Amino acid sequence: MSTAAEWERPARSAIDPSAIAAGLISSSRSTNNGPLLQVSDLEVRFVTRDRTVHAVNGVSFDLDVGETLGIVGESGCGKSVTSLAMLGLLPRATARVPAGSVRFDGEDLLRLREDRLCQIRGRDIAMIFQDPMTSLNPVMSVGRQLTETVRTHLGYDRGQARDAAADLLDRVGIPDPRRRLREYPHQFSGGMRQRVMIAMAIACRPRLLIADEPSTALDVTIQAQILKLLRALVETEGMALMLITHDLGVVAGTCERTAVMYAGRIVEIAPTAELFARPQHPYTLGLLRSVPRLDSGHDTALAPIPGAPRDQTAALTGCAFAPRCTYATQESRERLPVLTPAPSAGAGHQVACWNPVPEADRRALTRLQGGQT
Amino acid sequence: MRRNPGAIVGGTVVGLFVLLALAAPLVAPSGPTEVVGGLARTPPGPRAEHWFGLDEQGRDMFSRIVFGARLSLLVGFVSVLVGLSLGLVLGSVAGFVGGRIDSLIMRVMDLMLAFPQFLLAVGLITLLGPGLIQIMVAIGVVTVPQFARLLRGSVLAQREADYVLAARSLGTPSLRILLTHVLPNSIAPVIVLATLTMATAIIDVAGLSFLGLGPADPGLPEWGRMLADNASRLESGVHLVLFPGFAIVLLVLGINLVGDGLREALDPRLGR
Amino acid sequence: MNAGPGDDLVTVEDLQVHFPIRSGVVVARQVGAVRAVDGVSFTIRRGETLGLVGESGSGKTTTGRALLRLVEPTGGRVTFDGIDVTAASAADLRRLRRRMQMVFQDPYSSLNPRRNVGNIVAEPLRVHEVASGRDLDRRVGELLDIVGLPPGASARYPHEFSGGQRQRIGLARAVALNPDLVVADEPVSALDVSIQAQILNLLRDLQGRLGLTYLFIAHDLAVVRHVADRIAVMYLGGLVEVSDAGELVTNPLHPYTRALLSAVPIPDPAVESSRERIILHGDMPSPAAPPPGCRFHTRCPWVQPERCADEVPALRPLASGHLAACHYAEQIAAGALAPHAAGTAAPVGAGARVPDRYDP
Repeated sequence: MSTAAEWERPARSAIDPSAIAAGLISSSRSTNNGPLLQVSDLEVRFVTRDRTVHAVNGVSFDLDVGETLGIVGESGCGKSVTSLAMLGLLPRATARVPAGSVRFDGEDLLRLREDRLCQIRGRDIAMIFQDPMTSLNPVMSVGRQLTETVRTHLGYDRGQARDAAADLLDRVGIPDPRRRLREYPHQFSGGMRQRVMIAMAIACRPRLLIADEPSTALDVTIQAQILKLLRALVETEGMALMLITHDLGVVAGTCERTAVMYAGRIVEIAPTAELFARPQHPYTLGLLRSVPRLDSGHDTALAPIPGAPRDQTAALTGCAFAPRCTYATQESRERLPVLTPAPSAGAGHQVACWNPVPEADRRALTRLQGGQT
Repeated sequence: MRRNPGAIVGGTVVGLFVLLALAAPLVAPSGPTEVVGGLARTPPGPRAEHWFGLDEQGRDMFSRIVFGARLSLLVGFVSVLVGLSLGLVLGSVAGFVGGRIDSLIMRVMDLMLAFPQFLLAVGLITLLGPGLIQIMVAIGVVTVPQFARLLRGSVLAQREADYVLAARSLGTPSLRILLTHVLPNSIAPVIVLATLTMATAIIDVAGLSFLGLGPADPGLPEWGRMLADNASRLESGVHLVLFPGFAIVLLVLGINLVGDGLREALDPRLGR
Repeated sequence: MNAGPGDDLVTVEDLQVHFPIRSGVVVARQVGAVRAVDGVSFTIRRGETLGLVGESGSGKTTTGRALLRLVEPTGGRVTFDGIDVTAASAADLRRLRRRMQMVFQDPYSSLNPRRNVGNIVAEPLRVHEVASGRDLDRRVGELLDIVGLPPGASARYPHEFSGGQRQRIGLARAVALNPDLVVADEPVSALDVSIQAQILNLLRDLQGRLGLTYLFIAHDLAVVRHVADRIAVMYLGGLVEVSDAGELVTNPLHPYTRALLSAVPIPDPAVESSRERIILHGDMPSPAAPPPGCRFHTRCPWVQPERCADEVPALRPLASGHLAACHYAEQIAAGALAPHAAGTAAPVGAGARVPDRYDP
């Protein structure tokens, strides 16, 4: 009788990426000559007849070769739009990118011609999406969808492509890959489909993989499998990973650095362990306090953030979070805060706030969570 | 509605026809069968006193067209009403109750749909006999399968919705759920179909009249009949055919445009 | 007839819900059944919150609906306050429905988009002829207030509200008749994180004020842990473990529970990097063809050659108030049985590669 599970001990011989996320081991994959990806002051608007939605309002961040960056935020914060904008995948009719640049290996993706962009998509930068049901073509066999990618970008012939496709399915942990190449997406389960998507994405060994809520639609045990797969691929392929999610737990276990987005802006960005240990922005603190944790006591009260996520149809004047913030001042409402290094925090920690969370409140949070620092 | 210029144009045209039809006695210079000129082989065309000219029996064309609007609109309206009400009942019962009743109703509908709509109408007319009421019923009955099918689909979809489940969990009786929850949410596409069916009903009547199966009374100013009577005598006067034909086209086009606009306004905007 | 606090309000005995699979074009024959709920027994005590946890395909949603007979059970019995729900007549059922209500997952589809909020909340009161006229309006106003909505909300339509607010409307409707039991089917899964907390707090608040009993169905263990007094874990149509909430998290006895717990992400990098993970392989088997013997044995890290594939383990008490359905629960808990090492998994395709080569 074969087992169908594996037992994973923490921190074994090879580098466990989540250990890096915890700040226990420093990433040895530092940059050689500048960051792989540099996003500067990106702005995206959706213009329709009756209104304009300011989806992204000045987002800047860097991503190094082989680094894992998590982008966390709730619905409407602009995290998905940012990634779509980077690859030029926004709907042409309504989307406008009035400002900003996205430098990938020196080239500004926003200024490239469509044919050059097509070369980069799939080959240098790949993306996987949330819903594997709709992201795969239901009337095309899985094998064909895989070979299509490889033949387009790497010029393989049919035989080579089939071999490569089978190899890919194998690498993402799908048993009996040759047979499954002939099957159609509906014959795969949700988790398997997500693996197929990942296989398609890594087919050409991209240097950057963007994963937009890759595990949200999956059951938690399948989610664990997928996240583990992603971590492993990052490790073996040396890919940079941009993980977009609303789940704080997911970034805690997978990402070296984390950026928190609200209302189309990054409000805080820091190494993950640092972010969770010493949150500076009131929104980050609010999120951490309002999320139920498996390891906290039953009677721990959840402290929800009052109000609701911002309606993005108006341009920003002053801090977007001010209406819901306990520390807001007149200045907050009038002046838009910019990302600056946080005063009382560790290295690489930036926050966009006029009134960062005082030390006392941060300590109250850690008390709430059972004293982890 | 603002955003659909077609719908506005269509709405205006239809509105105009309705107004004309309602105000016919006031607008028309003479009655629909009133003879104002003499019999003529080549009746006079459009002129100052008779905007659309006279037909070969000496009747004022403009008046006939205007009174004809009454007829067309009436037929269109009533036949759609017949088809809609029957189709609504059948479709909602089939969709909501399901099971054998559903199968039975749908098989009957399929049977009806197997025949071309117009021929079925012709068949029904021969059964029922000529006459205005019979025409309206025949055309109406022929449209029932479309309504039934459409509504059934809508009802099936809504039946599984969470809010219906919520109503059931509250102990709401089934009939009430059907009437107050499911139907109002299923009816939008049906309304659109109704407007479009009205257009086809008008054309059907015209067609039936053209074939000689229309209302028995030869004096009735039915547009299709006017077309039929004069189609072979184009050289007598183009105006004899032009105006009735034009009227049909205009009214049908107007209704179609309104239907399109309704579909845009009603369908995807709902619910979110 | 009325159960007092702490007594069993709901008793479920060997509940079964099987959906027939029909095949054939002209004559549809039944060729199999989806055994969504396959012999489930538990009780809910008055005033408590029982959490029902499971992944998709576990049958938890179907169980909740079968409790209210929104889905007809194909076997077993449900007793509510001494009354047999499964055998109740239509009239009795209607009366029972006043006392058991449901809150749904999707805030966008659980409200009739064509009715205004006041209408939606008033519906239960109207259907059961509890109030009318001005009295009705007053009651609706009270309900909106209890759930934290402004009184002006009554005239507006669902699409004008956010997801969290719509859930509040759904809650107002559910408590309108002052029910004893509320079955909450994934009430916060579709909401943003910061709104989830608001709704969870509201649920707790309502429970205190109105003396409600909850069956809280969810897949998110962290959320369930927070709201539930006791937790029942379902897998593939059957219950695998039931215990007090705190006890379940600190001392899980069933292998599936342990795997489930280890898979839940915790928003704390230090914890994430140091915890043990049990990663299950493959997917849940189809409920139309459940494995013989223990449902979980095909994915179980502790599966044994004896008993697991032949005998269905009974849900038995292992400690006070703690039940588990595992033949070897005691041995596993005592550490006498080791989990199987990775590497002996299902056969691979081309190349002699082991699927878990990524195990560091």
